[in-house]
Amino acid sequence: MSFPFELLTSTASVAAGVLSVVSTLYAYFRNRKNEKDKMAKAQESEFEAVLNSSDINVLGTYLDETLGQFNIHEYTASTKVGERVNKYLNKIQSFVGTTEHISKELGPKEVESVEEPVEALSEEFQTIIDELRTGEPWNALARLRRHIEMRLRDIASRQGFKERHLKSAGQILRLLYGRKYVDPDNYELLKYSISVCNRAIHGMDISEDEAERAVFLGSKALQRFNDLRG
Amino acid sequence: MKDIAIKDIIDLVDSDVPDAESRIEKMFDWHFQRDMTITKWVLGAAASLSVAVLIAFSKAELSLTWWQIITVAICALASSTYGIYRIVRIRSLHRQFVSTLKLYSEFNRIRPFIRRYREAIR
Repeated sequence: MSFPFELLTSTASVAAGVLSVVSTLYAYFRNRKNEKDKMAKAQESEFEAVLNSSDINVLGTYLDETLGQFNIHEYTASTKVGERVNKYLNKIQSFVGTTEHISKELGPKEVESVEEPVEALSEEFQTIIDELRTGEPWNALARLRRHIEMRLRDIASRQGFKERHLKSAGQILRLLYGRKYVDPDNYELLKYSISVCNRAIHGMDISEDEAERAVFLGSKALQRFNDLRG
Repeated sequence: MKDIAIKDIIDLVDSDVPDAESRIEKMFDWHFQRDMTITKWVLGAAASLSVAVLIAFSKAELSLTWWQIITVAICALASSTYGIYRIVRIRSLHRQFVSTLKLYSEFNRIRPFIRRYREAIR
C-alpha cells in the first residue's frame, strides 16, 4: 500500500471517530437542554394556577402542551421527568375524578325542585350562574365546587382540623358532618351540589336544570352557614 | 422512544381506537425487531473486522502495515461500541413499552374529561 492511501484511511477513521464523539455529545446536550426547557415550563406554581383557573381550556391546553410535550424516552430515562409527570397526573386525576371513582359515587339524590332565589345571589354565585347561562357549564361547576371547597376548608380550619387532613370538597363535607359541624339538611344540599359538580368536571353530561339546581342549592347551603355565624 | 410524546398517548385515548393496548404492543414489537436486526448487522460487522485483525496478526505471510491494522481495529472497536449502545437502547425499549401502557391506562381513567376538553376546542 502506498503512503498517501495509508494516510487517507487512517485520517478518515480518526475523523469518523471524532465526528461520532462530537455528534454524540451534541445530541446529549441538546436532549438535556430540551428536557430542561420542558421542566421549566412545567413549574409547580403554574400547574397549581392552572388547576385553580376553573377553565377547561386552560387545563386541557396544559395537559396537551406542557405535560404532553415530554416523550416516553424522557419519561423513562429521567427520574425528575417521571416523578413530575406522575405527580401532575395524580393531581389531575384527583381534580377531575377517575371513571371508577365517579361511577362508585352514588348519583345525586333527588331533591325538591328549586326556584331561582328571590334574594340576590352573592357576587361569586352570580358569576357562576352567568357562566352557566353563557354555555360554559364545566367552568361554572368547577368554580362552584372550588367555592364550596374553600368555604368548607375555612370552616374546618376554624374548627381545628389540620390542613393535611383536608383533601377534597366531598371529603371535608363528610368530615364536618361526621363531627356534627354541618346539620343534615345542609349536608344533603351540599352533597347534591358537589356530586353534580364532580360528574360535570369528570366530563359527564349534566342537564341545564341539574346544573342550576346545584348552584342554587349550594348558594342556599352556604348562606345558612353565614346566617349561623351571623 | 423519542418519537412518542405523552400527547400522542392522550390522542390515542381521545380517538377511542379499539384494542389500543395491542396496537401499542405491535408498534413496540416492530421497533424492537427493527432495532434487533440493525444491532445484529452492526455486531456481525464488528466480529468480522475483529477476526480480520486477529488473522492479520497471526498470519506472517500477510504483510499488512500497522496503519492498516490500526484502521481496521478502530473500525471494529467503533462498530462494536455502537452495537453495545444499541443493545442498551433495546433494553430500555421494554421499560418504555411498560411506561406507555401505564400512561395509556392512567389517561384512560380521565377519558370523559379529555373528550370534553377536545370537543370544547374543536
